[in-house]
Amino acid sequence: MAKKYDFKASELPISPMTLTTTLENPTGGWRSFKPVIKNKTAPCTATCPTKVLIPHFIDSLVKGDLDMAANLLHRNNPFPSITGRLCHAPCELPCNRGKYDEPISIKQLERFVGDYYLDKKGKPPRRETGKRVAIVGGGLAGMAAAYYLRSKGHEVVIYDRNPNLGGYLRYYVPEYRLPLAVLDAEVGALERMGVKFVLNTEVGKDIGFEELKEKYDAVILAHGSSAPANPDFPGVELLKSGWDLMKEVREGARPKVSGKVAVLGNGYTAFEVARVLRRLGADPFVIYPTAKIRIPFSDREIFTLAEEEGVKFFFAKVPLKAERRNGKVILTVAEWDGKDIVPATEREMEFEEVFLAYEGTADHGFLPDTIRTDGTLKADRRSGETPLEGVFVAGESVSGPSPVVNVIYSGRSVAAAVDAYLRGRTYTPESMPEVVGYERIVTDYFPKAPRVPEMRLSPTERIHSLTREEVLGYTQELAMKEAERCFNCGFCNACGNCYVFCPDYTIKWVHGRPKVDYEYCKGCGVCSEECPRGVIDMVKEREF
Amino acid sequence: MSWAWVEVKPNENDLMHPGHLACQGCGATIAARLALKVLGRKAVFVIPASCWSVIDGAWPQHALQIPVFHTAFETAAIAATGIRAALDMKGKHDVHVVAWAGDGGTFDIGLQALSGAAERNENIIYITYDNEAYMNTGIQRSSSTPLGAWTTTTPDERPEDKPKKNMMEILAAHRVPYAATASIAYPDDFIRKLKKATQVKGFRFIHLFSPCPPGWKMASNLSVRSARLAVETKIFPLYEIEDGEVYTITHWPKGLPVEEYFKLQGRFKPVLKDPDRLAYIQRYVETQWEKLVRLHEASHGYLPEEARATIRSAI
Amino acid sequence: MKLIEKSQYTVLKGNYAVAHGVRLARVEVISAYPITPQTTIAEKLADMTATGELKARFITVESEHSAISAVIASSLAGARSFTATASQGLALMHEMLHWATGARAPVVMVNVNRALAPSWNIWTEQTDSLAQRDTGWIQIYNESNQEVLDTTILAFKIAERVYLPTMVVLDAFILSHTSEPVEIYPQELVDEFLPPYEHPNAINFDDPRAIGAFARPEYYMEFRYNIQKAHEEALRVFKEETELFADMFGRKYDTVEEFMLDDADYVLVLAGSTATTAKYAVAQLRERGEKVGIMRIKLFRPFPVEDVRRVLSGRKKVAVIDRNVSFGHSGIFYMETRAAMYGAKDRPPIFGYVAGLGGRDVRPQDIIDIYEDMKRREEPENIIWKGVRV
Repeated sequence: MAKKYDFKASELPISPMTLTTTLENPTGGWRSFKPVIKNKTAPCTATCPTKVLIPHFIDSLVKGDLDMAANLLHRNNPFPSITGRLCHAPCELPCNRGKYDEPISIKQLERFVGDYYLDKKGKPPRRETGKRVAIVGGGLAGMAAAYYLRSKGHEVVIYDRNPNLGGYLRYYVPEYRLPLAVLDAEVGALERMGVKFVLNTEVGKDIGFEELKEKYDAVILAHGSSAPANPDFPGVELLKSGWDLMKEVREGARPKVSGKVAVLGNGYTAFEVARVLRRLGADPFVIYPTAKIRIPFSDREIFTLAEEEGVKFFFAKVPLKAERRNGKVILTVAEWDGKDIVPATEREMEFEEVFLAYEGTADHGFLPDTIRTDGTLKADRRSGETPLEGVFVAGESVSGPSPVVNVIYSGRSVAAAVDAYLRGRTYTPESMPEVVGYERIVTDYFPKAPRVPEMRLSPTERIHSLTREEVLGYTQELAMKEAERCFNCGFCNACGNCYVFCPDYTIKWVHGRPKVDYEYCKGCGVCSEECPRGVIDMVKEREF
Repeated sequence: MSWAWVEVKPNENDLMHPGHLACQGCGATIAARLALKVLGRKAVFVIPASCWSVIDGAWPQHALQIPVFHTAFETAAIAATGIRAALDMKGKHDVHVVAWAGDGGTFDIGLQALSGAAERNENIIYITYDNEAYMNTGIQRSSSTPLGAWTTTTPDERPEDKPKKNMMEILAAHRVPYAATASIAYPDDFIRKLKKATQVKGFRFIHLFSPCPPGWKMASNLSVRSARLAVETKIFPLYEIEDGEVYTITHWPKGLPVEEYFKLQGRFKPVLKDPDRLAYIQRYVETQWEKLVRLHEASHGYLPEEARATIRSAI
Repeated sequence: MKLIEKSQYTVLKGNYAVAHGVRLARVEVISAYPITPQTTIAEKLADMTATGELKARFITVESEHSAISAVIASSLAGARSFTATASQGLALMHEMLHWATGARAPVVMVNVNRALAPSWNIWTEQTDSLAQRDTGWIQIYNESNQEVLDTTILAFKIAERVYLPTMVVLDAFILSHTSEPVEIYPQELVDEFLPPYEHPNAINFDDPRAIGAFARPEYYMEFRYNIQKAHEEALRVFKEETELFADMFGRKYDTVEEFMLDDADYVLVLAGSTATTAKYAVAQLRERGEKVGIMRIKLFRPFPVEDVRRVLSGRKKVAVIDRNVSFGHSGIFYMETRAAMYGAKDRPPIFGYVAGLGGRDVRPQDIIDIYEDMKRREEPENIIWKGVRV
């Protein structure tokens, strides 16, 4: 209640003039609900396997602070230049903006910020812990784990059988899709951070697993899934390897292939091999085991690219037999309903060549039986913990073929588990605050604006080069324009609405951020209602 | 960059103390806060009987950090004139004298003094924060109460059957140098207009739409949203009139159906139950809007592209 | 040469005497709305402000209600402020008369006494101003044009010492439109008497306060108490200032004027210009040996109870002649005089006469008739109508 005074008549001013201010009224007592400013999870972040802080980094981008944007982006994704090219971008599917006009082009923004920061990153940690971690396999999972463990101050040594890091990305993914320069820069950043590489060294052959276990405080197995896993049917040995083709082409070879060729596969690699073949001058057909609508979302983008380029498809078909006749390959295929071959659907197809491009599998041959059951590793999917103390598994070696972002997440989460292990703490998987739905977005604050298209080569331009990058991304101008479309769901970007609209001036602006003055806030809820991005909740003050 | 910071500067001229006596979600306090952001300390508010007679605080307290002169219901414009005259005589030409009145004190009882001051082109700024009824006395109709609305004197059985008085046309007829509508939901627009008003000499009028959650029978958190919908449904267009003749629409609304606005508020319950009345109001709104668009067109010689979409050719 | 010797003598109508008083008081804001018989005040002041003779803003408002509202506001914004009206105009101002008092705006208003409609009537009657008795204004009634000018100046001085609004009252036509010789004082002398206006609670941008904020029951009453105290103070201030005025300008006014009262058994009590007629009649009666005198009430609010008691106690009979009426009771000066005498020692019987409403002439013979009627009567009566055809 208002403060009471006991003025005598003689103490009053002549006119009925006020003497003090309403600051004496703690109107917070009127409140039955109180506003709580609390960041939430955007649907994009919630969907992103590695939980990239998307609204956060886009906000910094909008504000022109590219370094901050990069820092926020790298917090959960060490290689945005790679994901910005290869990720299937599941984040864009649930984007709230998609329910309004079109989803934000998150992947391209990620790529823009990643590329901006590519040469700047790679700072050694401030403090060394003295703990040593060996990582078996320098593919994406191993690199990601190395990045986070090193930034925590641990000594990290990556063992790889190849002459350089990158694994599948370096030796198979074509240049037009991921320029080597990008990968080299990421590897360079790891080097600058102080990650050590032991190359041309295969664990199990050049150095024993047990030896590693003894020499290091922890070992992460990130040896991937690159062992061939072709189906078994008569004549399969007559067919060529798509993997080898990709590898040759990546190394600079341009084998002559022409005419009708087929690619047999069950995922990303099949589409990519077909695209390489198209560029080499052939007329590729992909024989794919499921129906078109069953192509997983993660392969949709590459499928579309392939289709645009003139790659043809036979869906829901499986090979039964391969023969060579008159220098051609005769392939017998049949319809496949997902479980069985459909009877009486066999037919023969004639190709110049047939390439096998099935997704690989992991080879755990070098590991002790204690952590294996029937060729799969016994490991926790998130922490990578195995029955062997100090031994963790990350990436495709445990998950099988996976989209790049899932592999990165695996590397990141296993790194967190290893870090906890090295520090003697219990690993707790990160949790996410509640997700902001479209109903919490006040779309009135966002003028409709179409998604800014990224620069791309046309299909005709694409099929004429195996080296020219097919997606060129955004210029800074385009990136800013697209970034401004972002709702920044659940992330307080200090837009000021709550401050501007507070009828009681109880939302103060402190160090560039809103702060509720609960002494006076009457709990009207205008701030919550007008927060464009669902950051402010009204929480019941007390029970009635 | 957020729109909010285009015209509003954080922590600049925050001249309204909390602890004031407005109801939760009061639009009139948002209005005053925003106005003071433009006017700064060199301003005096003349407040006739209205919600703000209470909001500013009970003696000995006072929320606004500028001088306030309380005056009788019908005297906002003339009391402001008197203060202006005194300050001018004292050589204080650099301060703004602002009549800060509700709709009753403007549209009804204060109309005579307002007309006098407007006609004499007194050098004052008159801002009416319009909550569309006598709210401070407990929600009785005023001539600002809109078509179809419930008030305690236009009960559900006989809701308001006359359209809101068109104050802007009355002011335009006085040929005042500057008159504008504004809404608390569009602070940038309001602040731009008030800034413009401060740069004009003579009588300046701002009709500021300012929702009243209790009086409109709606939740307190909806005051800004309802104000926004009033604009976007074309019920309360944002425009300005210079010298009584040059009309400029400052915000082209989305043209949402009027129900979108009505359904937030309990006071329009009788309309929502009566499809004929609803259709009538929608037609009325369209006609009024089209007239305004034509005035804009006549003033400027053309219409922007976004204007075309807001006119229903079928009328 | 003394400053007073620089005075100019001229012949002025009462309304112009007001205007000169306003000019000499260096009023800064004027607001007025035309009403007969006040109009020539507004016209003259409009002339003066237009020529620059008086440096003031003249606000030509659309109603009396606005006229008074404007000057209350300008007064609290620090400018000496003036308005003038009559009758219907004053009645329209009623709400704001209370406001002026409550806000403690020391505005000065001249009211030219005129009867209220219907029927429409533009001639003199005191009911308009007396009906505003309880608004908290100081009210001063005048008998001559010189007194009107002097009182206008005095009114500002008194009002601004006690922060109470003050009404200077003169009769329609009999004063307002009748020419009399008037001494107009030199500005320098008036400036010596009346310092520049200041209000301690005036609008101040360096110390922003709200003037007139609503006050709950726990605070309101003390402000009202202070208004009463200010009225009590006003009575003392009136005495002081009229003394000072007499010293500086040579004309002595008091709360009541006493005429031929030294040995008077009978007293006629009245206010305004009728007193002049009465003085003529009383002089005739004196020639006939009648022991009669006049007490003219000049200050009506605050009511000079002590002076009234001093003058009337011990007399044989008193007749109050009212040019006004409070329907359902009596003339208002009668009512006030009787109330003041209640409990006084040697209280004479008091007779109430109502005469000259709506500008009907009150002639010397009417006064003599009243005197004789009073002498004849045994029992006092509240309301005795003079000259009504019944």
